[in-house]
Parts: sequence; C-alpha cells; structure tokens
Amino acid sequence: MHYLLTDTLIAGLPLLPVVMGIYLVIRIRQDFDLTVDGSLTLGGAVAAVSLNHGLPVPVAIIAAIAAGMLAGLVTTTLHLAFRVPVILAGLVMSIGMRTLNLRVLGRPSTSLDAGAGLFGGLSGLAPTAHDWIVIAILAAFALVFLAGVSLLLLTEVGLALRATGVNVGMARAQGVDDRRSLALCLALANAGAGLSGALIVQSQGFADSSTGTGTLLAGIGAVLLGELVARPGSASRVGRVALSVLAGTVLYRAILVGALRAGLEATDLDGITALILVAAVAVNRYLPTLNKILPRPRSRAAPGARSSPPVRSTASRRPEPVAEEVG
Amino acid sequence: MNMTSLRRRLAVSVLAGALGLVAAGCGGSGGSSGSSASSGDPVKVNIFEIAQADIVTTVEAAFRKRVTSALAPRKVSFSVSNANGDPSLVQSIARNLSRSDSSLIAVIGTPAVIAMAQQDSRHPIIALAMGDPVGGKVADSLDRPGHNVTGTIDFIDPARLLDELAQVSPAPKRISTIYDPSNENSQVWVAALRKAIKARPGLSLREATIAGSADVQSAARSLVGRTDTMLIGPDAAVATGTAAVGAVAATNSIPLYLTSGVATTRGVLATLGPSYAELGSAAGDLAAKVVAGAKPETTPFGRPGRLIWEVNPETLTALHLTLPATAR
Amino acid sequence: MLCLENIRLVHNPGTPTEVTALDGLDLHIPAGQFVTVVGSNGAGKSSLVNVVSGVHRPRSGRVIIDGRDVTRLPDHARAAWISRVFDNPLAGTAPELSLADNLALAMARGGRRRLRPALTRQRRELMRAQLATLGLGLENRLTDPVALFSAGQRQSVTMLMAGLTQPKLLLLDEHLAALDPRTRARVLELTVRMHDRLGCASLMITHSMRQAIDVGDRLLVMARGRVVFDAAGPDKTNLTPSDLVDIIAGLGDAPTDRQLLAG
Repeated sequence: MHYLLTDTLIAGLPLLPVVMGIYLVIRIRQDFDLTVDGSLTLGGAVAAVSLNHGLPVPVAIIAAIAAGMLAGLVTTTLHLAFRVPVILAGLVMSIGMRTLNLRVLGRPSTSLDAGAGLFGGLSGLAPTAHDWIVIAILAAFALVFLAGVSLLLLTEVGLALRATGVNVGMARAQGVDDRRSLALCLALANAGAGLSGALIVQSQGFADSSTGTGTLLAGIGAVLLGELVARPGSASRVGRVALSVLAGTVLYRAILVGALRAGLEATDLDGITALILVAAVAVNRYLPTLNKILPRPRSRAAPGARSSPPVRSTASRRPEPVAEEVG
Repeated sequence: MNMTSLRRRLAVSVLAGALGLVAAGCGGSGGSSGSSASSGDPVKVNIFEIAQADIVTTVEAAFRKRVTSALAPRKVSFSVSNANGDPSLVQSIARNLSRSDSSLIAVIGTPAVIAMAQQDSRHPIIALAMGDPVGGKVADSLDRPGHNVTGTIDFIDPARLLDELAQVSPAPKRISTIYDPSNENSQVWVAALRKAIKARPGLSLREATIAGSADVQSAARSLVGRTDTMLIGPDAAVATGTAAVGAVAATNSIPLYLTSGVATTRGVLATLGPSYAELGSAAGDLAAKVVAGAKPETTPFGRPGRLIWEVNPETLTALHLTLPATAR
Repeated sequence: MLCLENIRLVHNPGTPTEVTALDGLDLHIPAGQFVTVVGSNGAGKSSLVNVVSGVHRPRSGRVIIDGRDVTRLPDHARAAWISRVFDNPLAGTAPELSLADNLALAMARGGRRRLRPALTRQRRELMRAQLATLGLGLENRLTDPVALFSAGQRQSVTMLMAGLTQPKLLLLDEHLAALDPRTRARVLELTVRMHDRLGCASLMITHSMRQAIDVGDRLLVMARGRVVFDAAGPDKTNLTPSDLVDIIAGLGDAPTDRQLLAG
C-alpha cells in the first residue's frame, strides 16, 4: 500500500504544472491546446541537453520553462496571424516539434549524466528516505508553480484572463484585449509543460522523443477527475481550482499505478484512461440527477450548487421581482 | 572469300562483341545475386540501420572492418541509411535500397530486416545480430535459410543466462523482467524465459510491461518488493529507459542484469550477452563469402559464441555479491 | 464630446448581400447631453452603436471621442471612454464569475491591468456601497456566481458596472428591452441617475417612442442609415408617439409592432 503512495506521487507530482496549464486552456478558455505534448518533450530535451553540457540545474529548468513558453507563443501567433483554430495550430505544432525535439536531443533518446540534475546527489540513501526526498523536491516545484498560477489568476491580469473564457464580448467591453489573454494563457500552459518535462527527465534519468505523447489527453482526464472530486464550480474559486488540479492528477496517477501493481499490462493503461474519462464525464453529467435520487444529509448545503437564490431575512429589503429564466 | 563478305563478317563480329560487352556491363551494373562483376571491381555494400544506438555502432564497425579485410585487396564502399526509429522511414529506405546496384545489403534491426526482405528478393541480405529470423519469416530455418536472407543471430536462450546467474552468490530466486509486449523480439525472449524458469523449481518470474519508454520508471518501481533480481531482455524501449531502471535498482539494492547495452549506467550490475562485435565480424565473414559467390539460401546463420560478462564495479561493491569465475 | 463625421458602414461589400448600414452619418453630442434614438428595423441603430463602440470599423469617416480620433481603435481599446450596456441582459456580465469578480473587472476598465490583486478589502467595501444603492440586496451576495441572478438583476449590475469608472459616453443599446416592466422602470431610473452623477454623454437606443420622448434632452430618428429627425428641448417634449410614427411612416419605413405597442 505504501508503494502505491510513493509511486503515485513520484509519477504524478511532475505532471502538476502541465495539468494546471491544461486546466487553464480547457476551462478558462474552453479550448484545446495540443502543443503541450510537444512542449513537454521539448522542456525535457532542453533540460537534459543543458545538464549534460554542465549547466547548473536552475539554468536548465529555466531554459526548459522558457522553451515551453516560446512554443505556446508560436501557437498563439499561428492562431492570431493566420487565423488557424487553436486546436489545429496546436496539432501542427506538436507534429513540427517532433522534428525540433529530435534535433535538440541529437538522438532519439539521451541519458542524463550520472549525478546530474535535481536528484543527482541522492544516491546512497536508503530507499524510503530517497523516495520521500524526491517527492519533497518534486512537490516543492509543482506546488510553487501551482501557487504562482493561482495567485496570478487572482490579479487584475488573471481576472481578465478568466473573463475572456467566460464571456469574451463582455470582457472586451471592459477593456480586455482578448488576444493578449490568449497569448498569456497558452504561454502559461506550455511553460507548465516545459517545467513538467524538465522534472520528469530528471526524475527518470533520461529524455527521449516520446515523453510528451498523450499529455493533453491524460491532462484532460486528470482535470475531469479533479472537478468531480473538488467541485470548483465557478471560475472565481481559484483555491478550489488549484485543489482540483492537484486531486485530479494524483487520483488519475493512483488509478494507473494501482492497475499496474494489480498486474494489468501497460498496454491496457490507455484503455483505462479512456474508461476514466468516460466515467468522469458521465458522472459529472448525471450527478445532479443522482443527488436528487439519493438521500442527502440534512444540514450540509453543497457549496456553489444552489439552483435558486436563497431567501434572505433582511427585513428592510424590497421584495425581489419574480426571478426570470436565467440563460 | 571476297573482301566484302570478310569485312561484313568482321563488322558483324565486332558489333556482336560490342553488344555482348554492353549486355555484360548492363547485367553487371543491374546487380544480381551471385555477383557478375569481375573480381577486380569495387564492392558496394548498403548498410541499413533501424535507429541510432551504441549497439548498432558496435556491430556496424566490426562488420565493416571484417568485410574490408576479408575482401582485400578489392575496395569496398559502404553507404549507410538510418531510419531513426521511424516506421515509415523504414519502409521507404527498404524500397530505395531494393532498387540500388549494390552487391549486398547489410541490415541491423529486426523491423528493418523484415521490411527489406519484403521489398527485395534479389539482393543478398545480411542480417546483423538479428533476434529471430525464422519467427520474423525471413528464413525457413537457421541452418538452411531458403531465401535471400542470412546473417548472424544474437539470441541467447534465457536458460543459458539462468545457468550463469545460478552461479552468483547469493543465487537469484524471484526473478523479474520488464518488456514491451508489442515488440516481437521481446515476446519471443520472455516466452523462452518463462519456459526456462518453469523448468527450474525454486525460481519464480514477475513481469512488468510498458507501452513506451515513458512507462519504464513506473514499471521498474512496480517491481520493488517483489523481486530479488532484475533481468532485462533485448527490448529497445526498455533500453532507452535503462537509466530509470538502474536508478530504481540502485536505490533498492536489486541486482540488475541486461542482455544488451553497456554496464556503465548507474545501477546496472552487469550485461550478459553475446559479443556484438563478434556477431558483427561473423556477419562480415558471411558477407565476404556471399560476394565471392556463396548463396544466402544455403548459408547458415551464425550463432553467438561465448557469453560475455561486462560488470560495473561500483554496483558490484554496493551489492555485496560474489560473481562466478567466468564473470571476472 | 462624441463626433461622428460622414460615417459610411457597408456590410459584405462587393457581394450580392452588400448592404449600406450607415450612409454618410454625421452626429455631434456634447458632454452631458442625453440622446435617445428611435428608428425602424434596419434603420442603422445597431450599426451606429457598433461603430461608436468600435466593434465595426467604418468604410470611411471618423469617430472622435473627447477630441481624440478613435476610428482605428478596436473596441477593447475604447473601453476607457465608453461604457456599453447590451440589449441582452445576460451579455453584460460573466456568468461563471462571482459578482465581486465582475465588478472588479469593471473597476479595472480603462487602466492598465497589473499584477496586483483584483479584489481587495477596499474594493469590496466600495462594491458593497455601490450595490446597496440598487436596493436589491446584492451587496450580500458578492461571492455568488452571477449565473444565479435573474436577468433584471444582471442588467442592473451591468448598469452599475458601467458607472464604476468615469466614462465619457454611456452607450445603451436597447438595454431595457428584455426586462419586465417593474425592473425596466428601476433600471431606467438608475440610468438617468448615473448620467446625472457622471456628467457624461449618453446615447440610448430604444424601441419605446414614449421613452424616447420623455427621457433625455434630445431625440434622434434614424432611417436608412442616416439621422432624419433631430429634436431637442420643447420640440422634443411636445412630441407624441404618433408624431414619431408619422415621421417614420412618412419616410416609407414601417414602425415595428413593438414600437407601436410600446407607444
């Protein structure tokens, strides 16, 4: 059982930045960015090559993040300048980046030199200590990124970003340049992918050209699962959003790790991912119905799930007009 | 005879001779099995590689060296094509090479061998260190290939490996392996491993599968606590992730043996396998024979000779094991 | 304050569906003036709003706000000077964001958005004070997503948001149309109050001729992409709805059923 926890965290924590980025794109902008598949690989490649050339770890990681961010900005440019839909632009990028990543790596895969990277100095520790230190380091990076993005969402800039995904006409009327918001969103998402790639490569000790494949889909699965668990409700509850990303990533990984330990073949894991996605979507859809059928505990009101405005007891208030059909 | 008919006969024979030379020249440059080039001409050899990897480099270098020296003083020219692991590239390179005018095509990498054999039944094809030619359907049997493909195989029966490992002190009992089920070679090897383990009471096998090199770390971690020895077969995807397996093995003090690759990666105890350089050279000998006129159909595949241990001394010190005499 | 010079707006130029929405429109609105606009469908009222707000760029002509030529600026760049309220009461607020977030978004309108927190205690106090003036009890519901509010509440909030900064122009595009009578009266009162408080120019499109006459300082009738009738002061207040209907019909246009019913 204890292995389930450590294996899940070691495999899942590096993915937190990219899942946060994917959340931004699919929930805040209601769009899909396939660039993340390529950016994650690129971040890993840049980190590996930097480390193998003797660059210090912080430089390697920053380079990976910057590389990812650049990729996101290229996708944005494709969309804005050539009016290619974001989905298509991302697809094109992820294909083109395959060549780029091979060039950066120089070969299909490359191992990190011994002792390089964040975890290089940890050899010689007892297994449990080793694992937990690795987990602590990964958690530090992932959570700092998560906190940074959350704080950003709470600023004026972040609020503008949230608004463009919800109601772009209104956002523009409030002076928000939605093209800049898109650039910010994709840059952030792919910066997260770059960071995730750098973390993964240092954790597993090698970089190869297929590391990022399937990232977007796995991230969507994690996001859906996370929403099921943490129910962020509105885009205003940024703390809940961060929690749902964390919960979703960890839970998603836990299911996969558990399946592996239970003896399932790795090639079945894609099928499991698909099942998770379908189940998450279905439960999301039918949960209100389920809630009506199943008996609910009396005193708890589900946060954010009210379907009609509550009655307030302020006596001086004028009676409200009959609530009209909300669109 | 009068002068005109003599001149006519002379003209006809000169013409016939010229045509004959042209025909011979065409036949020679078109390339065919059983070379028709005269023994002074340079030999063109195509080398087709599936991907970039250290093992490929080793085999290729040994092959080249042996071919060059075996065919001396004839000049041998090599031209190398590398598919970089891309399946579609494999197909197009195979098609290209089937139209070339080389004397033979040396191929490294099972998918490349199979693709080449499918596209080309004309050139002699020398498979360098292939896993399973019969299973790959490029030969009827190892002793009598029956088609235009021969070469050397690198398959060492896992039973042989287990016998070697049994001499390690302490001896392994709970053996584990990691492999990619979609890799034909790996399937064959793991099946043989299963059989060998079954035949040895007291041994058990735990398998972990991957769908790609990104899964290697999780697979390795999933074996912790369930194995006392890791044995990795010839699987390219796992080979890519050797660093990850090594890290897990090192942290958890599990002896890790590979059947290909190098032992210098941290955490690897030793590689046990054929000498790929020897397999490359042996294939070079076969290639020289084919150029001299031997038919691939009847030239048996070369098998691995001795088992070579390549030990990582740091890992050995950390694990406190005693290796058999053959390993030192 | 707002100057439109010779505005020509053509939709789908060069195609069979080409239509001239605004045809050499000239308009000058000084600061502080409340202008109402009526006209039948297709008269160009929405096009007028879109050109002023920047959603559509005119084929020719200039849009000048407070002496500044904004013709080339996109709509979001003009938001510093123009507050717009839409006809769809749900369009002016972001449904999945909380009330506080919506108001904060409006408070940052016109200035550079920075990396400082959008919601501070000071701002929340200000929001509560402002919301209290609506008398709807919304000041207690800052954290509720706006999607939970009724259409009337949302339009009231949109009006409030329009006045949170100091716009030079209030652009009201049939903003009372989709509301029930009681809410409509309230939002109209709010509109007038806001105009007086801010001292800005206001341009209100309405389909109610009664409203157009009773509210504001000046009335415009639009037809076929031009202003065809312009009355201020007593000329305006002495008009009756049937006068307006005659004016419109006299041009060959037909007043819409809504206009006739609303009177």
